[in-house]
Amino acid sequence: MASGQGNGQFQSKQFVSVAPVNSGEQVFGYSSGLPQITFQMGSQGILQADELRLTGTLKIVANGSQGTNLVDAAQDVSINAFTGVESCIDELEISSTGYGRSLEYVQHYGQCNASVNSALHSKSMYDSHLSHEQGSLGSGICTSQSLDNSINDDPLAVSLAGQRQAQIIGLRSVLGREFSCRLVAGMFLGGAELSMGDLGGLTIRLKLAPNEQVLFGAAASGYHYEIHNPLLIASVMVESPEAEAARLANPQPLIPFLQYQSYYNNIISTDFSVVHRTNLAAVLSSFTHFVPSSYLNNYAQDGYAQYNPAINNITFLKDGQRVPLTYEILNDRDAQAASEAVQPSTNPVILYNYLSAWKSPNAFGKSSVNSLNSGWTATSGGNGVFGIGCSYDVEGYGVGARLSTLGFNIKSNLSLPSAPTAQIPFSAFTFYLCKSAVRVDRQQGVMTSV
Amino acid sequence: MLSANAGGSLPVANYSTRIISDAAGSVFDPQNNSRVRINIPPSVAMVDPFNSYIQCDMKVNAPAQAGGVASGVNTFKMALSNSCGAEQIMRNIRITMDQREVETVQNANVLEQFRRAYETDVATKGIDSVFSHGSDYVSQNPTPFVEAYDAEAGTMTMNNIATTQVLRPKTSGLLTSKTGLPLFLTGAMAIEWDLETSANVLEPVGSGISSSVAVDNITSSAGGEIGGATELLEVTLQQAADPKYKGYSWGSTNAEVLAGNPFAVGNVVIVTLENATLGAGTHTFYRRVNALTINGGNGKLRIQLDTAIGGLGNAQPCTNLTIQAPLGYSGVSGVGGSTDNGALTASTQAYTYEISNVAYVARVIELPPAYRAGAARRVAQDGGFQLDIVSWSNYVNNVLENVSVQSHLVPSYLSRVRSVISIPVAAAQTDYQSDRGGAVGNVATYQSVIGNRREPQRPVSITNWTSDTVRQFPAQEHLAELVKALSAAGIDCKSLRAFRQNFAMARSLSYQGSSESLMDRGYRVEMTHTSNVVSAKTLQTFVCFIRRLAVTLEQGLMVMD
Repeated sequence: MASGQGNGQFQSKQFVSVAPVNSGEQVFGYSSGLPQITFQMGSQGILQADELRLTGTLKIVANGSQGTNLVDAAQDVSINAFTGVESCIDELEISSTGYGRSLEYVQHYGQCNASVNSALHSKSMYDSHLSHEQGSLGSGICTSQSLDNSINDDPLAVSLAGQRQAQIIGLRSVLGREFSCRLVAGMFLGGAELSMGDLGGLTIRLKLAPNEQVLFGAAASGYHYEIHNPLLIASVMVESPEAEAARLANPQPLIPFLQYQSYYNNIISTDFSVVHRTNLAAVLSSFTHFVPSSYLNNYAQDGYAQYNPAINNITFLKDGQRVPLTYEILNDRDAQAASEAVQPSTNPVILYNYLSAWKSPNAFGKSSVNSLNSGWTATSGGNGVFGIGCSYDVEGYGVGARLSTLGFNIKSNLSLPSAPTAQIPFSAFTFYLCKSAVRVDRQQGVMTSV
Repeated sequence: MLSANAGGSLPVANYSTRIISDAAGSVFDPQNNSRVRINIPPSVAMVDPFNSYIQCDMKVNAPAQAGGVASGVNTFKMALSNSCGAEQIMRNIRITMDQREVETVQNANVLEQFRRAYETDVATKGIDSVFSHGSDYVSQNPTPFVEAYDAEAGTMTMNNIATTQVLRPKTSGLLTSKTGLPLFLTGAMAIEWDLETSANVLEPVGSGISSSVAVDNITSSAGGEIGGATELLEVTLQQAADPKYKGYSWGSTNAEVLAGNPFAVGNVVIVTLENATLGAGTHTFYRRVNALTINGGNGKLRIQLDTAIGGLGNAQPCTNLTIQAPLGYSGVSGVGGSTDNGALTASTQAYTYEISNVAYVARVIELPPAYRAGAARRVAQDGGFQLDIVSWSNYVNNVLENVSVQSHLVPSYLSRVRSVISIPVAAAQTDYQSDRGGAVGNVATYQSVIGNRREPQRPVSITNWTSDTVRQFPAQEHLAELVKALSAAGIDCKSLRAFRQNFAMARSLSYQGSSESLMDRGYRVEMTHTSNVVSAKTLQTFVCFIRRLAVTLEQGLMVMD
């Protein structure tokens, strides 16, 4: 972590574009082109991590051909409305080039991104920014006008079918869908400034997701996706010689950063405990979202959609104890309800704690969590925003879990409102946001976790 | 939270726990057990109120007769009124520490709604509605209190279980403070509130026409043809094709229209119309609904009344036809002449709400021994511990009927005032149609008088708004004054879309976080109207000020205004 703008330590700010080191023909994809994109950034300057952007062109191409984007909006082929182009990323790994050490490794990146993006952006932000930047149109209510009029005048405007169609249309350019998206990683959060010299440069590796996970719709099985000409755009502050000398004077610099740790579980019982041995020093928060296991890697279903497995109650656990919530979250489900469609709840306590995984729910200005998106109709329709989560520490220090286990016990019906009596296994994607740090020994040339 | 800057600091353990209310297990309701109290013991060393909330289960109870077509008691889906969430059940909030009153906000739900109107845009209002079941997105998210509702049969089933509410009252400075409250120094804290009456909290839903007008009021755009027989009203609204009943959000299918319209078999409706045969003027009839049908799938809702409308022939076109489904009427429909509006008896039906399992879900900070020792030493040796909070005080005046020029003294003599917001609420309120919003009426100008100083120097004119009652153009100086006062009170104004329904005469007394003393000045609001015809209002004035809590060895907890 470095700071010092205004202190004369930096000479200038430069924007650099980095091409993949495994460029080939500049075509990447799961089945067409290279399935992995690797960028290497040099060891000069201070990286302003939250300005990092991945750019390129997404094309949805008929199987058997290459480079021709699907332009027919009548073809039912789409990508998740909350993640957009970032659906294509399955894994993100950030590592030190010079020291050959992995710093952050986010598996199930698309699942993480679906939760983070939808929790932290409202429909108006999707409409105004994210739809233009990365082809994600979100779902729900946009403006006061749509609140007052569109729902009432024209329910189709916010219907699932109507919004999916709008999402599809945004992908149908002849030249493909250009995108410029942020990368969601702990290291890039909170305005972090990373000394590339201390880190020995960064290697950012993106492993691409299967076509059947990214694309969905009635015609999706006839298509695959391709990413053309990806670039990493970064802003780097150039150090002054004095600043660089001062930095190098420290023989063992400590580099703190945030990171996401990802876990995957299958919930196969209506009373199920998820336990993670994380080996993390300082955990700030966690969140989990659920997808029916059969919906993953399935052209017929949106594998990044967020579902509610008919949760009855949740207990967050640390070493089997109720931490950080000393109580069980009871969801007000009506066991006598005539159908799932008339369940009374919008899950207020679950969603309050879910949002606390990012910041105090009282500090939220924008979010796609609302009673339209998070109720039964939306979460069963595949356009919902729902998850569980908690904040382990509101003071920003984090709880130690080096030797502890973290997790939760979840009691649920394991069903969807559309088929309330059928129990199906759900996949739970859990992400822990934690504080981490590495120390560099310049003389020994090693980097160690602390 | 998303910061790695805390490295090297002393970690502070914290966790979330539920502190249940006094009389745990009790059911509270506005009639019988209307005061709720939660005691937070000093053993909870420090509370982070910004990350804490109040939780309760809420249930709406229908009157015993409701829900049966034969009972003659109107059947309604009830929801929380005023586009506001469950926080509106908290009418008067009182917080004590060490048995001393540190904060009291009377009529807090008036300010709560006002804040919600301006402080929340669509996105944040959506979040609030999740937490407190606010009645937004009515058409997509109907009231959680009713499980089944059948307009054709005139029946309904209330939900078997109470629904959880997360209450985050924004009107309390203590409960929204971003500073931890050191209860180990101040002593035990008690949060107490009075429940607002059911008639002011609940309203019928089902139309989506307007969240502030509780009952439906439908005008036939096709002229209101009485078809076939005089007891049949066949109403064609603005759009017959899908989605049917454009503008009324009754649904996009025949079944949804039947379930979503605000009428129900057995309910009494008020029919008003103009018809040449009946003579000039508007004629009013009270009738009970005997049947509801969709006429052949052509988008017409057919409402069959129990008796014919006297004097009106078959298939006669009517103009300005309206049908209202009011709460508060029951019994048989009126009989007699063409304006038989006196035969109905007001219903005793009373939808009520109750809350249970009330708890304060506190984020507790476990203080390291070194911090505790340091704080205790500060109290003992360094003159004490001090904490400033932003708080609100409420004063009530009456806007007199038919007096054009009025002056209202707000007897606030606080020493550190940041903002004053005066909200004129209509004095005449209808049960289950509560409107806590500020009513502008025909106000022409307003001005604040602080001691002998007038601010602004010229009265704020809003005639641009109130002289055109149809278009109601926004008055810009008024909006600027309002936003300044909101900002001075720490309210980030994110939306002005509801300014017409939430009028207030507001004045900022703060510059960049500073405050002004009213100790030897007082505060006065002067207002003029465009004519002598003025409706009575209750002027709810909320004064935002800074209150200091101090703990000393000699005096214990002191409250300094």
